Amino acid sequence: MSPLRQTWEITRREFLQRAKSRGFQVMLLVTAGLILALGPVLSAISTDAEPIRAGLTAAVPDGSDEAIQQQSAAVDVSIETVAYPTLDAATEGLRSGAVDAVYTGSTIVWLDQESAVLQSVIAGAAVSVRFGEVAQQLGISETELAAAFKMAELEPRVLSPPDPEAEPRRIGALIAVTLLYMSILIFGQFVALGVMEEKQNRVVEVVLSRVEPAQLLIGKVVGIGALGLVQVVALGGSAWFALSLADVADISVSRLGGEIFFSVILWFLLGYTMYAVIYAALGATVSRQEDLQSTLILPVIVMVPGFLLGQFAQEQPDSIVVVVASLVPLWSPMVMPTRVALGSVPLWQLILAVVLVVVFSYLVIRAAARVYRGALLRLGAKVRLRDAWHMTT
Amino acid sequence: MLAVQNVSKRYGDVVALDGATFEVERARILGFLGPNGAGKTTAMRCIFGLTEPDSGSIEWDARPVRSRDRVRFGYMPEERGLYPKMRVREQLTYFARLSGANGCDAESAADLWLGRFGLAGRSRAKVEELSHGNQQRLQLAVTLVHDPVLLVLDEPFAGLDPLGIDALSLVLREVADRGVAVVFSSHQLDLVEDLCQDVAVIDRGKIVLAGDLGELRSRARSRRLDIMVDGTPWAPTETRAVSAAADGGRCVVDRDVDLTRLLAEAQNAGRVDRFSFGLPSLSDLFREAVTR
Repeated sequence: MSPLRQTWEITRREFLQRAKSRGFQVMLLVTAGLILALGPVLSAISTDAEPIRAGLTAAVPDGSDEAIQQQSAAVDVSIETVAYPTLDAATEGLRSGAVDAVYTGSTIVWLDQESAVLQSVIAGAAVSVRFGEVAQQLGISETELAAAFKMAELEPRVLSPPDPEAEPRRIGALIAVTLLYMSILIFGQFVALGVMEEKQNRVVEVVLSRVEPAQLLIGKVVGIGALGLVQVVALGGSAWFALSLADVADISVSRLGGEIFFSVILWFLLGYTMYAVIYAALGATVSRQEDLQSTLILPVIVMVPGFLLGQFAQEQPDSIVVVVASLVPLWSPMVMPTRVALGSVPLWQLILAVVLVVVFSYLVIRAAARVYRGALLRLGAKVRLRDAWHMTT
Repeated sequence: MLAVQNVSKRYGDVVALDGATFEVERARILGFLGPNGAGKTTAMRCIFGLTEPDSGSIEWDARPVRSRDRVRFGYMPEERGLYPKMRVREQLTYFARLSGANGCDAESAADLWLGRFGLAGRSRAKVEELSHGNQQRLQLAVTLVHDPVLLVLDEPFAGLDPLGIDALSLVLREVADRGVAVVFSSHQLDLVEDLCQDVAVIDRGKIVLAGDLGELRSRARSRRLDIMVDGTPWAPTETRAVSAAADGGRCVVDRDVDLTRLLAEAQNAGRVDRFSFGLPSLSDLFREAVTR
């Protein structure tokens, strides 16, 4: 019987027992469903489904309707026109909310507030109609007239154009930091709870008569981590899919989503491993549920600043505080993926953060395994960390 | 054969084991006796590496016990423990697999022991749904499911009703007959006397008595004397101890006591209804060994 196979058996049990739990399945499905529903909602908000309606009286020049449609298409706005025989009828329509404005050929009538978009579209349309009339009077085509005015057209040049990806990146960053914080916290606590329960049920002694404490620790952390990975992939994937559907900007959200998704997976694996062994060591110091609660506050106290800094990073991704926080191993898993999502990380910082987390995790695992081993068979009262550290079995 | 040799373990100022030495042979049952806190559990934990001895050695078949040996041992700790949310058969299969059985073997071994302990009908129940007695049976099944070569049971009879005691005794005999080395601790000395060929008595971390029970009894310096005079128990002046028996008193005397003289003294005291002289019981040996 190889130690590896024994560890695999433990991993398998940890994964299956929890995956089979109705609570876990319901939670995962409901959360994924909620995230998927986010897609259509975002889509509805960003495309502004309600079209603008303009009432046109009989007095408008011929061709105004077509000109309005052309102008609105040019600025990517949907405008419906409604024809009214008289100004009175049109005003009535405006009052009843059937239209947002009334155009008479010489005036635009608003109910209470002007719409800059509609104003410019109608103004543009009026110019366009007049343009046609002038061309006709001059006996030249509209194209020739347009060419004559070509000089007057100004070529725009923007020094720092707004990044079209900024908004989706911010949404991605928010989802990433929240998902990571929640997942590391929830699955870390699963580890602590599992360790505590094995002591509480006294089954730990039966298990340890067959395997080494390190095997039990690894099996548990990997098994629960695999389950966490399933959740992160399912929820992260749902968010990615939802954002792709939403199509919030004229960019490929799929590519950006993929970038964020894989960074979330990487940082979940790194962050979970680091915190899970801490949770395991803390779980091993208690044998009772009521003692566990106070013990589990410790990792939360450490994680919360990371989560908040991850939020802060969305506003100030390049501030020195954020850059430093993203390199602090205990905070990297929440701050660094936020920076990655916002697209502001030099590669060397990313690599440095990963290396620091790996090195730090190695030290944490060494220490946590020692505490875990020392405390595991001390049933009953809470074991002090210092005692567990010095405990020889 | 398991050989525990000169094993010592100290927790701060408390000496748990003080050069403890005893052996458990294949196809034999050893009763491991001792007052509370004498070091029985610590010794058993040392066998499974749950406790690291400060000194001494523990060997199986003349080689130090290693992890891969322990997988073939079965241990039932005093503090019983199972996964309460796991189903009965699943749990048994899990422990069989943890000890090296492959999927199919683990399942057939689980079914075998479930049938053996009358749990076949509850195989899909969660452990927490079982009665206390059935949980005890399952615990034992977990200890046996991987066909161990050495069985170590800490207080296996504690909390069992008379039928449960009979069933467990039968299982232990069968297991030993198959060649398994069995050691169990108990305070029920009559039971140990019935079941065990060997005993080891530990007191304050030291083994104070160990060996074949028959030999120990015949080698003992003491003998059991049971004299009834005029319907009441009668004890001579040489009595070292008296143990109350249902039908009167029984005294422990030195094996070299002059029986002819004692009989004459008893006859002087009245009508002698009973005069019996025999080997000491296990409880006599135990009391003698742990007398402070």
